[in-house]
Amino acid sequence: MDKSVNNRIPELITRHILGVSTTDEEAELQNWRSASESNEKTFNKLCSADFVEQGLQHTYRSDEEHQLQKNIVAKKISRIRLYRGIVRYSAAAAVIVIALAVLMFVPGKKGSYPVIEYQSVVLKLPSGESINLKNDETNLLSEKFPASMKKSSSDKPIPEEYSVIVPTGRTHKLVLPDGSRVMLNSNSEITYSIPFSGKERRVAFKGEAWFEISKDASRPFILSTGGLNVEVLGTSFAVRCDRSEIRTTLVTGSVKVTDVSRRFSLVLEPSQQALFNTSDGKLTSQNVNVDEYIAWKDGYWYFDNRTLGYIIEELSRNYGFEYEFAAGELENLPFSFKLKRELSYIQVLETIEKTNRIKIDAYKDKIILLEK
Amino acid sequence: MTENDIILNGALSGESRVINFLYDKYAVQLRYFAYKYLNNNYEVDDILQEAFVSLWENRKRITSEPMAKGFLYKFIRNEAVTKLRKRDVKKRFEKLHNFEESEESFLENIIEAEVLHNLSQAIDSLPSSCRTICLMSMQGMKLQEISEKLNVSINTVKKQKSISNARIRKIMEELFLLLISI
Repeated sequence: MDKSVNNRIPELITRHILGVSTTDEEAELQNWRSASESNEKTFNKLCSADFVEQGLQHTYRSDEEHQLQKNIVAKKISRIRLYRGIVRYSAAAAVIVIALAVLMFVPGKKGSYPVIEYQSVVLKLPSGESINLKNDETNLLSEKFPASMKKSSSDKPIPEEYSVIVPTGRTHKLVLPDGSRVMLNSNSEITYSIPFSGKERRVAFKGEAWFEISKDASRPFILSTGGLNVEVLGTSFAVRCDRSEIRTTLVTGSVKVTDVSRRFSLVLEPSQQALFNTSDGKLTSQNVNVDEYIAWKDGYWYFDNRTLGYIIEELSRNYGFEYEFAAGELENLPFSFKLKRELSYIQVLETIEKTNRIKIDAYKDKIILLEK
Repeated sequence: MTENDIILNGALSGESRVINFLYDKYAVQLRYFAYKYLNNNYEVDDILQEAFVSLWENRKRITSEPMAKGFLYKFIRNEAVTKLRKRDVKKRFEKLHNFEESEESFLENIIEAEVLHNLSQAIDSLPSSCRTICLMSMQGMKLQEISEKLNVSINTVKKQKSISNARIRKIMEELFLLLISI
């Protein structure tokens, strides 16, 4: 191919796509297309309706990101200039220059990890007012509970709704007015009414939580969560709601799981898990390693032969960091481990890194997972 | 004197402003080009930085914009292939997977990146009413279909189409003044 005319082809193709080419140009293009099979293939790819959109999608950067990248280039250039400048002015300063150069160009220095600040757990009162909960445990049976709330519950006989909202990076223990214990994982929300009375104890819930329900055969405990009801007599179990599915894992006792339309219903035995698919409404059950689903409540990360993609997504949901895999195949690496959750996300990631199978770096407020 | 002349006159020395200008102009197509090899954005950003720094370092012998463009393409290709080979070494034990990059596919990738650049420049230069129609007709819609979809008369569509064609022809004359030297 001629060394400097090869942008003739892009020109012809562009004209063709935009519909502004002349007969001669079309003939010239036709000539090139029939010259080889790969030419024809390239041509067809470029002419496909979504080429521009797809192409720009891969390369999209916001104005800020573009500017940032440009600034990095400018900074690197000014470093080289500085370095050259020093050399020019003084050969004697060579030692300093080398020291500087080493400092400036040391490769492999990690980007600093993003610092993540976590919000506090919030109690929402019926008045719409929100209280930040300082402790990591709230006992609704105890006297210490906010006065505003007690008052409103005794003044008005009508039950009023309260919500506890647990943000990313936090967990919260809650003792419900009937003595049932709930431990909420991060990104969860529970709504209950006070007084907590009536024929049934009804609680609405989103996220992931561990429940130890106190026995009261006359008043079943009903947990309603995104299309699924879990009915309980006295038992302990874990619930986790994701966008596409809700998992109910039973540890002791028994629970009955029913979808809101009451089409499907299941009674679980200990060590069984009900899986509710929120899109097709199907309800199935399976035997599981219960520990993996409840380890979080005892303060552990526990993964049993899970892919790195799954693990990092879990960690990111709970710690609130953003990430990107630099190589797709990394996502499929299997890992098993048990670690304390009180560790920072950096400590957890660095522990995974110690297996020598992956490398962790930070870049623009994001964690990057690289091949070792 | 335009930025373009600055390079043509070999006055790039010391002018990192020109690098900024070229970065703005070519980032999109070079990213697309680099992405074709690397398939992840993290390395794409890195390789672009290296390419422009290296362009600046080699400014003495790069005397025209087509040369700069060719330099950037070549640099990115070579670096990307090196990176891919490194990935490859690790894989060789697991499965026999050899990365080879032919001159032909290099040129194909350049053609793709260039067409992407041309199209986005041409489309960007249109007034927004023309742009919608232009994009629709690029997706293979007939004038009749466009007029139905946009709920305007077929004459309006025809008129807008001819305005955008005229503009595109003009833009293209400017675009294609530049060759690429490889």
